[in-house]
Amino acid sequence: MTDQVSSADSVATPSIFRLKFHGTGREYFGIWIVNLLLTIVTVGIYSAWATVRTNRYFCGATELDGSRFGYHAQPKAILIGRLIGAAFFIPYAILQHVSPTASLLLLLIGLTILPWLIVRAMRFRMRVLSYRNIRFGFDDTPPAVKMAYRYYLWMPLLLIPTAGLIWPYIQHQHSKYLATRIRYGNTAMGFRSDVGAFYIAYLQLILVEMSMFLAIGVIAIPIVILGVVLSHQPGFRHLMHSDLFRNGAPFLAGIAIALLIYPSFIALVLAFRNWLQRVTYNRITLGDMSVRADYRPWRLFTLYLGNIVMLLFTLGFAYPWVKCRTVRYLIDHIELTTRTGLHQFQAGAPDDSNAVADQVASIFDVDIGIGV
Amino acid sequence: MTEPGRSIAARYYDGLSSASRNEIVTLSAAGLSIGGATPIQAAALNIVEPMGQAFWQIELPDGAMLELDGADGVAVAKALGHRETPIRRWERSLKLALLAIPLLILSVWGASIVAVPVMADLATDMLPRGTDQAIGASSVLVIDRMTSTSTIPSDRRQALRRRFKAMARDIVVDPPPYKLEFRDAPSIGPNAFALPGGTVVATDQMLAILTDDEVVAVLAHELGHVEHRHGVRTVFRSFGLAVLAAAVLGDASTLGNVLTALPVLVTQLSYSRSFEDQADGVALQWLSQPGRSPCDFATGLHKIQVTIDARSGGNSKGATPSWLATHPDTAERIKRFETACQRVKGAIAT
Repeated sequence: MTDQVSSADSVATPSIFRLKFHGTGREYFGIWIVNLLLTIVTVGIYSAWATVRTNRYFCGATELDGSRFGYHAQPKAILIGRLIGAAFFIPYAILQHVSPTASLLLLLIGLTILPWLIVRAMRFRMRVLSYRNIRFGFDDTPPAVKMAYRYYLWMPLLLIPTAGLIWPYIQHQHSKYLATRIRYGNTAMGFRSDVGAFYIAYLQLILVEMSMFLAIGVIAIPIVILGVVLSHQPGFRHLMHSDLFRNGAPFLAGIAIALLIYPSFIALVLAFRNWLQRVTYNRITLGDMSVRADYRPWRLFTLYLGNIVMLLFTLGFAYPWVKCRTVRYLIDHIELTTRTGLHQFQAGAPDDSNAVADQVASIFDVDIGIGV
Repeated sequence: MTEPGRSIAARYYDGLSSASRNEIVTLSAAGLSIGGATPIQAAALNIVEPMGQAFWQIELPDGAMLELDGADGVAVAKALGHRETPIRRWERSLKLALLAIPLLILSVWGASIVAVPVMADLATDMLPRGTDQAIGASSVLVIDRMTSTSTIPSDRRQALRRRFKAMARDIVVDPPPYKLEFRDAPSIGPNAFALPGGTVVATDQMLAILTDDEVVAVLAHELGHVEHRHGVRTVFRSFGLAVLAAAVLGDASTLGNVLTALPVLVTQLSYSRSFEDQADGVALQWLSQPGRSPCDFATGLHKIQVTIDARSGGNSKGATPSWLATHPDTAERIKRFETACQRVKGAIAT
């Protein structure tokens, strides 16, 4: 029996562990297409199994120091959760048509249980994750729910008097709240507070958006000038008055704008999400371990822009490859630094969590905003 | 294959700490032995089949876990009596996965053409007619906001309302509290529409260009929508399509929204065209009765089309492809009524 502890055992030199994603588009393609087909054929029932198989694939393909992550949720638990979620959601969706006021009222009632749902959902999501046969967890002992109400219900009310300027601070509080309650075994995660980093990230976003609008202007103005000049040429004027041009040109121009600008903004929004996650990751600690995500903003942007182009040209069938290349970039650029290694974490107390709140939360599209 | 007694390298996780230990496992008739210890019976082991090429895991009765690399894992699992599940075989076979593509396209197509309409119609039939009005309430508000009080003389409105009432009794089998509203709608132009619950709205702009007979003919079409509860059906079908799109998308929401928007729109428009067709059928049947004329619908629709074309400053035909239109081709609709019109005229002449 040899102890397979890497060089990390010495106290003096910190060792660096890199996460590695082994998934491939080809492998995920089979899982994805079978999931999709069976979900549609079974009128959605299979979606619970599909979710479990997908998560098992992505966790199993993620390696850290020779060991893979594990996902252990039971499909039946998720199915029950989804059915309960649907029982709430379908009346809400129908009520939206019948009486928007009543549906808004229902939504407000839903909002008041949202913080509680978030706590339950986090508990479930962490509980079904494992690494080296040690489960993750989420500490939901009091005042977890009370604090969730403060951060997810009351604090967002301050967005109105502050004209939204408090949002980066709220996100910082959310990240801190969630991170410090996550457990690996019986070890609690830590979070090094840094409100400024969140404000800087948003400032960067605003600067990038402004330069994007500027770039659109720089490209668009010469085209408009060219159009005005050309429209004074007799031959061109004739073409402009033809039926084809009058009916087709605005349509084509619309498509051209949509194809150029719309994907860029979607890519920007998606890239920013990870850019913000990076801020959170870089402040997480576990024992003496610290996390670093070295994402590059331009690389994130081109990654998502490439994804959109691939999806459009393949009518969505490139999805498995798109998903895997995205996850590969996000996983492979996370590194962990520790002096004591990965072998000394102890298991926590056993815990029976249920999937109900997790799925109720997900059907109402609650983005808890943490996780890989 | 794994012959009994062969030694295989595995990683061992005791479940108490995150330490990883290399172990040699041996298989025998008695079961699985770890590092030479007493063998554990196969029945007490839980073999976790990996997704893709991740490691095979064997959960031990005491909460510990063994992890075996791909080929070793397959061999050990097989020796312990584990059979590859059909779902894994399907996911791993390229041929079978490719077979899923046409099946997928077929089932999505079938769901949107057959399953969604059938289920939406079932839901509509289960819903009592009385609820239609509640569903139409929000669209009444929208129309009210977009339009203003009619300026049509009240005696003309009265006359049209009387004819509308009589016609509604003919067309609508189980009449809800139907009513005819007149609204001034410069932004909408010459048009009429049926809201769920039996309210039919005619614009002043339509009344300005049509004779009373033509207005009644167009209203017959709208009552066709009322009779078949197309408004409620549309709500349920849209909901069904949204659920279908969500099932297809899964977690690819942001990117997927872009990709599914067009197919969903195209399907909704095909529903809309089939409803218009059905409403035309109702109008045609009613107008073909003695004392009425399908000619009125043809001339009415023609006048409306001419006005709309003039408003849009050109020939609207060809501007939108047929699969992107809410209504079937106007020329074809007019032709249907023209043909019936000629027949009725011929019958009168002889």
